[in-house]
Amino acid sequence: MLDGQPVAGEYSFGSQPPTDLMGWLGLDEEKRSMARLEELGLTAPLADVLPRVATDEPAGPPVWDLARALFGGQHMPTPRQETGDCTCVAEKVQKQFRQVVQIVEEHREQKYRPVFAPFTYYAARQKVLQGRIRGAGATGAAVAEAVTRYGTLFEDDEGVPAYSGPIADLWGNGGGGVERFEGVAVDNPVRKVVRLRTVDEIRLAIQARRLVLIASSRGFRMQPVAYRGFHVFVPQGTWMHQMTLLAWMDDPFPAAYRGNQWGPHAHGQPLHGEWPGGAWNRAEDLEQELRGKYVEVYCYWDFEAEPGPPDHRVVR
Amino acid sequence: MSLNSPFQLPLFQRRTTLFIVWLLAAWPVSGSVGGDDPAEADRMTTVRVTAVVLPLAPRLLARTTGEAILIEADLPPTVQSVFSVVPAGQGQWTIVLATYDGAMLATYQYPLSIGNLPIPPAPGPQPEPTPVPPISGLAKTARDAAIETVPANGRSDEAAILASAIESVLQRGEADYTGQDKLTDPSALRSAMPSAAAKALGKARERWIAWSEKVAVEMDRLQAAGALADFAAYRAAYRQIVHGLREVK
Repeated sequence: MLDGQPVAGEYSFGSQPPTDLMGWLGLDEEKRSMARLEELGLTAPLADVLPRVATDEPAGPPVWDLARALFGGQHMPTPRQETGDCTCVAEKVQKQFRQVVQIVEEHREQKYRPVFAPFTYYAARQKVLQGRIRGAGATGAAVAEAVTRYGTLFEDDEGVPAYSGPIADLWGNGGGGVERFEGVAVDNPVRKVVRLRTVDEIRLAIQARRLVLIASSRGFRMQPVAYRGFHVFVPQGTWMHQMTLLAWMDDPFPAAYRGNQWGPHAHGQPLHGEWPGGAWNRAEDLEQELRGKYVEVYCYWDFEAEPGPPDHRVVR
Repeated sequence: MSLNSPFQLPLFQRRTTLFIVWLLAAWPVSGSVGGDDPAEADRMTTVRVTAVVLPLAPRLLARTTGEAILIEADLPPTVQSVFSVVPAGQGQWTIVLATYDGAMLATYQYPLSIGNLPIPPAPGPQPEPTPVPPISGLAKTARDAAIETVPANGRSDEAAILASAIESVLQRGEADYTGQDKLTDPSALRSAMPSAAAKALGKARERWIAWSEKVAVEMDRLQAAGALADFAAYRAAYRQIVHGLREVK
């Protein structure tokens, strides 16, 4: 059992989790959404996509370091949710880091553009879940369908407002004239969604440079502990919440880095320059989480980001 | 019947290898070995061996080792074999290869020419040799940029490594590079270059960034002028860069 004192530092929520920011609708909605996603042929098993990118080369630097290379040494900003739109803000994190990988590591000719989560929140709740959700929230599968069928709105698209909780709620309920952005967003879809079922699949997907979205009822202490030199989440309580697994390590212990989107100081300061706002999640704790009844795990395999101009540099 | 008996010059029997030291001493070597792989042919350029007499004849490989020509037949180790060389005119020989696989004896003949022979009769004006075109265009840019921007120490070797890396990308053609997209459009081709270059150059990558910027400026210009309109044009452009890199001293 993992235990210990929290690492000293700034914790923006103290030790109390902000339950109003948890918006995962759980397994019943999830089952319906997943069936629909599969019916539409929008998912693929990992085995179908992985062999094409499998490599025996050593893993590169973590994605947050790739992002630093793109952002002049700064971390990619950690979003801070203002309402129960966790499924869509986690999706924003996933697509933003995927853009970074595609640009920095795969040298694709694309422009990095920050994602505007409330549009996805609208598409998931109104187009996929057909407006039947009264309160806040969505499911991972509904969001996956939304990003594959309805695309992505970017923060710098013309006429897009600044993110806020009220805007997310308004758009999530189909208000604010959000439908006028459908024609803009549709150009930038996710190409394939892969559903993952085991820790090993999670590790393989991360090593193939995909971020992993994990939604479950698993809760954690807000203040991680120092464990073998790393900031580590301690499982505790129930969070109906979605987060992102960004990186994998085998030494000194197998773990995935679990990024949250409650701002950079929600869980203190990581000890090795990791992306702020998260902590390491031990493989054995993930294993236990995956055995639970309420969990769904996806990664977005390929994101049709904004095309950039031709880059003729052979050496970059 | 002895396996050696029909041949005048049994030279090397345990391995299927033929050394021809005395021929090379008499005539300068030119030409190339036949084969499907142009890169292999380039590497082994020395001797022309063509016109297999019998179908399914073993392939011959030739290379020089100092003053000797070394010819090997591509045979499984279980097949016994022997070579012989029969003069067939000035600068011309016939290589005779006999093989025995324990059940069947077979012989094969291969014409061999060494040097710039046959020499034409002397009278009349000799044709002008075709001039080698001077290096130009993108090839020249690639070569000159390397000489200008990359420190001389190790430059030639690194240029050759980089050329091979670019060539390997061109040869990938249809191969996957991201898991979904294939190298069938200019963007995919351009995107595949940096990873291949970085992997090939290793720590020397930094030394070639300024070179890359200079070549990219020229490619930008060509693209703006409409000279890089499609995949084929890009392939040709990268081939020129390879050519230029191979000229770097």
